[in-house]
Amino acid sequence: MPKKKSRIALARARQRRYRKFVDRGPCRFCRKLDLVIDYKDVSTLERLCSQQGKLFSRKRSGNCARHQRQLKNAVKQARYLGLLPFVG
Amino acid sequence: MTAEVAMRPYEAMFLVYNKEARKTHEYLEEHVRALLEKVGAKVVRFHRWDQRQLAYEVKGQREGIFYLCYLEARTDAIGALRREAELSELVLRMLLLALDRIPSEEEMRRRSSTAEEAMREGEELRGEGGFDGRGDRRRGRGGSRGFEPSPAGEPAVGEGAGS
Repeated sequence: MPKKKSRIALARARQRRYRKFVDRGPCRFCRKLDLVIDYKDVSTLERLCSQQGKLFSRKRSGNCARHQRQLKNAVKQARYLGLLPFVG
Repeated sequence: MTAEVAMRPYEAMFLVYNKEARKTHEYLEEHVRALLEKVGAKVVRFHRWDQRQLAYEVKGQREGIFYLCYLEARTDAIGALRREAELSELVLRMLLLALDRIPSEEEMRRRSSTAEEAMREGEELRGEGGFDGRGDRRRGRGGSRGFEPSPAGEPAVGEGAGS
């Protein structure tokens, strides 16, 4: 009996763990209509990259596909100019 | 009869090295401007963007000066500009982007403050555990949204199986 109960508890915990990715509003950049993601804005790009210099996933940063793609290009341009590292 | 090649707006960022040469900023600026004029580009705006440490060594240099330039050039001059930049010893890197139109200075300022605002609002919405570089998992530790271990009264999986 206790074994069965603990499995249910574990399943509920798992549900709670993944629920946080489901309900979310629009992407942070979508809220600003006149926003252009630019490779010169290094502080913004740095905050969306890990310590290793890798761009955070969409799941992690909450960005929409369009802005994630723009960020990807901006990060690559900044890396080329030596503003961001290829490998942290 | 030859068709007139249209002038297109571009943004160019030059990474220039200075330390060994000990050249003045005026010298470097003139050098970059000369590259642009050589290929017949019309310089609309030109300024020293920043001087900073590089994230990695470029041609053995750890520091560089960035010059940002907005220009109008014929499309067939771009290849020549790239070649000139490649041959120049002072220019370490050049990034050239085609634009729809050249933004005004006011527009540039507004853009950067909007991006800053978007980041701030995004982090406020997501609360703590935002961008700490720890990966997708383990975030929200101790928070109500995170993984919660089963209460103390309940045995964990495997514990009850053996008894």
